Parts: sequence; structure tokens; C-alpha cells
Amino acid sequence: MSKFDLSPGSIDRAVDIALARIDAIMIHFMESCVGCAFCRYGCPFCYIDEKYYPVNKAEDLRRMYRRKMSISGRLLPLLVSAGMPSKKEDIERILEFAYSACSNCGACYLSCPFGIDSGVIINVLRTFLNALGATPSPLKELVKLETAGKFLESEGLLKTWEEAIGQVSETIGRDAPLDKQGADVLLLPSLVEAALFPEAVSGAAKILESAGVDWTMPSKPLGVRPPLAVLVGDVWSARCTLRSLDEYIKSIGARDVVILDGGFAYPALRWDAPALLGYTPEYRVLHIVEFLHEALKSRRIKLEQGDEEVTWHNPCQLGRRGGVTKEPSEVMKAVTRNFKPLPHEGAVARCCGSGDAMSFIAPSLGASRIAQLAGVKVELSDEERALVEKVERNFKLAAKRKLDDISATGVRTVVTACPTCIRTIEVTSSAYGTPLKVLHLAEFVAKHL
Amino acid sequence: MSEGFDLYGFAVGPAFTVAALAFTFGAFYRLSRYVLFWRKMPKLRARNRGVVARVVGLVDTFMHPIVEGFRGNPVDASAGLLALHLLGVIPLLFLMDHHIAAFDNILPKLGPLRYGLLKPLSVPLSLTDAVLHVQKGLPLHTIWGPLVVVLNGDVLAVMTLVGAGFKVGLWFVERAKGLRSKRLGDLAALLLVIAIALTGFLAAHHVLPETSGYRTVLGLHILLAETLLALMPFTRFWHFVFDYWFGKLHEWYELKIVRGVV
Repeated sequence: MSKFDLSPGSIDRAVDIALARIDAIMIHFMESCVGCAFCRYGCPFCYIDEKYYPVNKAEDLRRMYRRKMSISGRLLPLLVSAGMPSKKEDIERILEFAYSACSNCGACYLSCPFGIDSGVIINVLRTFLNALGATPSPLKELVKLETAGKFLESEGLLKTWEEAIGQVSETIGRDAPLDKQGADVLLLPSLVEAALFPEAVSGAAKILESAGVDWTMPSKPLGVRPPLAVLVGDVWSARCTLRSLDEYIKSIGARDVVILDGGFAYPALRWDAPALLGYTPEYRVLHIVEFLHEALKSRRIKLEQGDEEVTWHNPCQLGRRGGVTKEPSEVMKAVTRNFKPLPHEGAVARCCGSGDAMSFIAPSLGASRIAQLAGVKVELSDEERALVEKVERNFKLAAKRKLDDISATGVRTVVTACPTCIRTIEVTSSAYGTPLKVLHLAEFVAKHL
Repeated sequence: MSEGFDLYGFAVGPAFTVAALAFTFGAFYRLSRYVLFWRKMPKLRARNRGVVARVVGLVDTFMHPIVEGFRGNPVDASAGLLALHLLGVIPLLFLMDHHIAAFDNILPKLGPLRYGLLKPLSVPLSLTDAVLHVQKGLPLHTIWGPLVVVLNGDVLAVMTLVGAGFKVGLWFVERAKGLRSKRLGDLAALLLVIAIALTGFLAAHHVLPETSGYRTVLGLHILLAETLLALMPFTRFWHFVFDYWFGKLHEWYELKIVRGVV
């Protein structure tokens, strides 16, 4: 663990910072649980251990809330289970629940009879951990790298970005349009995509070219995978990152911002940004699959339909949390005659087993590559090593249901649209001895233009 | 009637007033927190999926947990949801003959609107009466017809006791497994439900002789129910008054109306 202070004053302060996020909706999440544990039917981690039931993972925050913000918690703490974390074991348990056993997939939200979003509760627990200085080091360092703008000082990362731009220029057969004022569409890839999936970036550029739109992309990265700070519940830093993104987008004057990330960045930019920025921007934020869907409908783009047998994995943040549930399968059907939908798709698509903060903690999911490129050295304590092992173990176990879903279709190639989902399905399918080929949608579609 | 303390008189007199006041204060307290903690947010640009998708989404929002529950753990769902709620507490509380009469008497009437309008939906108190009526072909003043053989106070009370008893057992099992979300207050709430159903059942069967005995058991039943009423806004019982409806409607608005999840 990063070193943290367990004095009552320090814990009290951290709890206050976390509980400052309580609003009317959070009050509902805090007070309305009857403990039926129906949330477990959606959660992929509950199939590993009962202690990972969302209701159980959320209990620590509820205890703090009752102690600090309810009359019954102050008068009858034993009866209503109100209390503050005080021991190292308490913090270690919260860390395990918050970082190794929740991908914030949102399935618990749908299966809760009371509409309680336990993923949001977990995020507030991370606010508490962050305020206590207990955020796991691998993630903490990357968040720092992004929020302090240090990624712009990293030769390794800047070189990666330039290489991705070079690949874009090569793909479209002309210099990539960079920082072009007045362009209609701004393509906004992240450093993670540039480093791990450059073909997706160049594929997206080819799609925009084929659609004949006036587009541009940033000459320099705007973040590691902005806004990373949301993953640690650091609302203030997330707001700062979003403001600088917003300023850049407005300086370009783009009508649409197209992103490739179907992970946490999508709902953060599309749905959460207005609340953090304090206003609703004029520009639209679209995922590349939404752009393609619109372009296909308006016949601005033409695809050569192929015969590949593929399926589509809908990233939870794009689908269940983001609302892009219908468009992907329509796009996939336009790309190939042999599209095989999964048994569980759309809003009820199963989580790949990882996502959210987990991908920045588990080395096998590729985020350590970003740290390497940035020259960030992360020293893990023994406790942190144990946590990293738990993350590695848990996401592989949680992925089983997704892999079962995929194997039911009989296909060997999966198309998706989130960096974390790509790596998770690759890693877990290999771990279970049935390696799958996983492609980003932009890369897959670009081959059919 | 004995000359001692009359529990029934106390229950329908001062205790009711206290319970009603506690409920009113609690309800105001709970609802006012939603208002006080409300934060105004910028209006989001909703993804419009059309009216039909929104209506389907509304049904799906309420049905999804029930379907998931029966798929995931049929035993738990049958006992905790079906027996306890759908076949137990809800019809027992709101539709039983005697309860309709009591609520009609207590609740305010808004012009022609009164609780007694539910009378055609009422279920009889006694299993024996219900069976005899059906066997003899006697008129039944309810829409349920021969269904009263299963839809009656006795059967519904047993359903409630089975469901709540199952939940009490589960509480101990899950607590033993180390699940920290199992609170003492949850157990107390379930025991209160059991006590209410049991005393109601015993009162209906005149388990104590003489009028005084009947008044004592019925008084205890009413007093326990008033305890629930007073505690309702401060406990999980609030879920069927407000939390369930608010939570699912908010989820529907956020996911189906704004974000367009279909």
C-alpha cells in the first residue's frame, strides 16, 4: 500500500472528503438497501466469493455514512451498524473490495430492486482511500502523471504519440490533420490507445477520411486516458482534466468529438462531464461506433461486407452505462455477413471481468507499459503486491462467464471497443487455453472500407 | 372485559396517535433530506429512443430484478419475494377483509375516494369460512371467487411466516459467513414482521378465551403494527412506501430516458 496515516484525525478527514460527495441520489443509495442481495446476480465477482456481493462491498461506506450523517447511527450505532474504519485490516478490506472486486460494470444497478448503483458507492469508497493516501501505487502514479500534465514531459510517451500520428499519415496517404481550427470532427484518441492499439487510431482516421468529413486530431496527447482521476474518485482532479480537454475542444471549434474508448472515458466524457464542468458543452461526444452508425444510415460511408465469423463484446461503460446498446450490432451486421451476436448483449451484456481501475493495477492488462514508456518507476510494498495478485486472480475468474458466452457462439474473433476489454479477453482466453483474437472496432471496420 | 389494563383500548387510542405522529415526522425527515441534498445539474442532451422504447424500458426496469432473482436463486426468490411479499404481506396487509374495514375507518376520505372502494378485492380472514362458502356455493362478495380457498388471511399469514422465517434463517447463515451487510436492525425488522403476522393469526383464531383475552391478543397485534408504522421511515420498511418507487423511477430516467439504454 502507499503509506497512509491511520490516526483518527486522518481517517475522519478522509471520511468527510468522501461524504462530501453525498447528494440526494447518493442518499437513496446509502439508505434504501434492504440487504436482499439481488445485486449479486449481475456482479461478475460474486461468482468468485460471497464477500464480493455488491451489498457487502458497499457496507463500509454505509457504515461511515450512518455514523456521520444519520440520527440512528449516532444514537444506536450497534443496532444499525454504524462506525468508522480504524484498523489497517479495515483499510485493506476496503482496498480489496474497491480495487480488486469491482469493474464498475453497472450490472448490479440493473438487478437491484431499488435502483441502487453500487458502482458509484465503490467510487466514493475510492475517494475515501485517495484522501487517506491509500490508492494503489501503480494507479496513483498514472493519475499523477495525467493530472499534473507530466505526460507531456515524457520523451517515451511523446515518441509513442508521434509514431501513432505517423501511422495515421501513412494510412490516409497524407499528413495527418493536426489541431486544425474549425474542423467539424475532432478525433480524440488517448495515449493508451496510441501505445497499445495504434491500428485502432489509424483505423479511425481511415473511417473519418472515408466518410468525407473535415476532421483533425491533437498534435500532442491530452492525457493518458483522460479523465483518469475519476477512477480514484478524485473529483477535483477529474474536473481539472476535463476543463483542459474542454478548452482544447472549444479552441478547435469541433461540432463532434469522436473517441475510440468504450471504457470509463465514454460515460465520463459523454454523461458526467457536464456536472463536473458546470455546463453542457455545445459539441457532441460520440464513440466511433456511433459515428459509424450515423455515417452508415446517412450513406456517407460505404463498407465492403465480408464473411468473417465474428462476435461483438459490448463494453459495459459504452453499453449499460453509456446507452450505446443498439448501434454496435447494426454496424457489425453491415461489416460482415457472419456476425454472431452473443447470448447476452446490449444492456445485459456480461462484463469481461476487468475494467475501470483494475486495468491500471494488473500488469498483464498493459497499463504497466504506459508507466514504462513514461519512465515511471513504481515500487510496490508487500501489501500492494498482494493486492495486485488479487486483481490478477479476480479478473481472470470473473471473466469466465464472458468467455462462456463467447464460446457459445463458436467464433474465434471478438470485436470490441475498449482498450481494457481487448486486453482482458486476450489475456483470459489464453489463460483458459482457448486464445481468442480480439480487435478494436475501428481496426476491424477499416479493413472493409 | 377485565378491569385491568385494556391493551386494545390503548392500542387504538393513544398509541395510534403517537405512531401516526412518529410516522409523519419520520416521513417528513426522510423526504426533506432528498430536498436538502438535491444538487442542480446542467441539463443533459438525452439520447432519444422514442416513446415505445421508453415504455418498454419502464416495464423492464421494474421486471429485470425479479426475473434475475428467480433465475439466480429460485429458492430465495420464492421465499423472500413471492411468499413474503407477493403472496404474503402485500395482499394480507392491504386486502384482508378486516384490514380494509380498519383502513377505511382510519384513513381520510377524499370525496367519493375511500379505502373501502377496495372491498371487491378483499380476501376473507379465515380459511375455514372460505372453504365452507365455496363448498356450499354461498355468495362471495369478492372478485376472487373460488380462489379464496388459497387467498385468505390464514394462508397469507402462513406465507408471510414462511417467507420471513426463511429470511431470518438466511440472516444467521450469511452472518456466520462473515457478510458484514447483515445488520442487527435487519433481524429485528424481520422478527417484528413475524410477531405481527403471528399475533394477527392468533387473534383471528381467538386463541385466548373470553373477550378480554381476544382484546389482549388483538391489542398486541395492533400495537406491534403501530410500532412498525412508527419505525417505518427510519428503517428498511420505508422501501415499499418510497424507496422502491423512487429508486426504480430514477434508474429508468437515468438509464432509459437520458442515456437511451435499450
